[in-house]
Amino acid sequence: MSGKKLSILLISDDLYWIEAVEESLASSDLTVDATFESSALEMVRDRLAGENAYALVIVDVMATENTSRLVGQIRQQQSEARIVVATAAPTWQLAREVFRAGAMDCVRKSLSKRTLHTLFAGILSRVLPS
Amino acid sequence: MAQATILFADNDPDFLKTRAEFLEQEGYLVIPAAGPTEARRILEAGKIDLAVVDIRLVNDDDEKDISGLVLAKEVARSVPKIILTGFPSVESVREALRPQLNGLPATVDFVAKQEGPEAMLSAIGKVLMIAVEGGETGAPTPEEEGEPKAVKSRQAQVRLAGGIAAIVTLLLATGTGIVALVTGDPRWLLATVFLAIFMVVGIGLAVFMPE
Repeated sequence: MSGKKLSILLISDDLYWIEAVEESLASSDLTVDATFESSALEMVRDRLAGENAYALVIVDVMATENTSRLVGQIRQQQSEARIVVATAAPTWQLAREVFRAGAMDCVRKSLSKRTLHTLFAGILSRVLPS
Repeated sequence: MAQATILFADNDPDFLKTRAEFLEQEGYLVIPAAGPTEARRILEAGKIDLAVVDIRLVNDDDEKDISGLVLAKEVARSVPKIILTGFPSVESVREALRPQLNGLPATVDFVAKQEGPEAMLSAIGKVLMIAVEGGETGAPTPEEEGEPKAVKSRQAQVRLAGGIAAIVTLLLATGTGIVALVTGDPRWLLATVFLAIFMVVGIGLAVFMPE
């Protein structure tokens, strides 16, 4: 390990949700960068160039024009990117599309910090080095 | 790829027969299975290019029946599998397509029966195309598992053979060169030139053959 703090990129325009996610991850020693869809690819690219790629990218469906396209574009930039798609109204078709595009999971969006904490604890246990 | 062999597993005999006939018309060799035990036996026997598996292989009315998913996860991991279900849900998609601990999903695609045979056909075509191109199918193909090692091994053998050939021809060329100088016989000189060419080829193989 290089000792660098691991970072998560959160692509969302929902300020309440961003705050809830940040608070739910506050105890996990991770930094959270929040951004809009328009800057997301640039941020992924910049981090990749700096050899400190995001450990996890969380995509809020409501913040994207075409979620599966964005997931695919992120994967094109960073083939090992771990991407989780969050939506308040998941459907099996959306889940299939984002998995086909390369997402590692499709989860229900929640504003409950407790639910989010449990959710991200499960995801991070699969993502972060033990 | 030659005619692809597809395992089609579904506990509904009418649906199984209809879809199997449809796939046969499209040029595939279809091996039907009416339940998880039969499907498992066929998968374990090998020679299957792709499996299309219903989630509820035991009881269509039982929401907890995920025998098809269990089969897909446990048996013949190198065979790409498509989940076909009449009861699609977010949870079943996640179970089928979410990467497992090894980083690969249990199945390579998920199709609802309601989407019709064309959707199933399209999914099958894409998976087999990816397998032929040697791309990612979600599960490693036999080629992905085996061939790279074999290719590496062949390259190492060529490098070794090149090195040995270079050393042997160097010794021989030195000998024939000395004889050519002493005797002035042009045949020995010609032999030396040929040996030098072989030596250069051997050095080229030993040095430039990729790792």
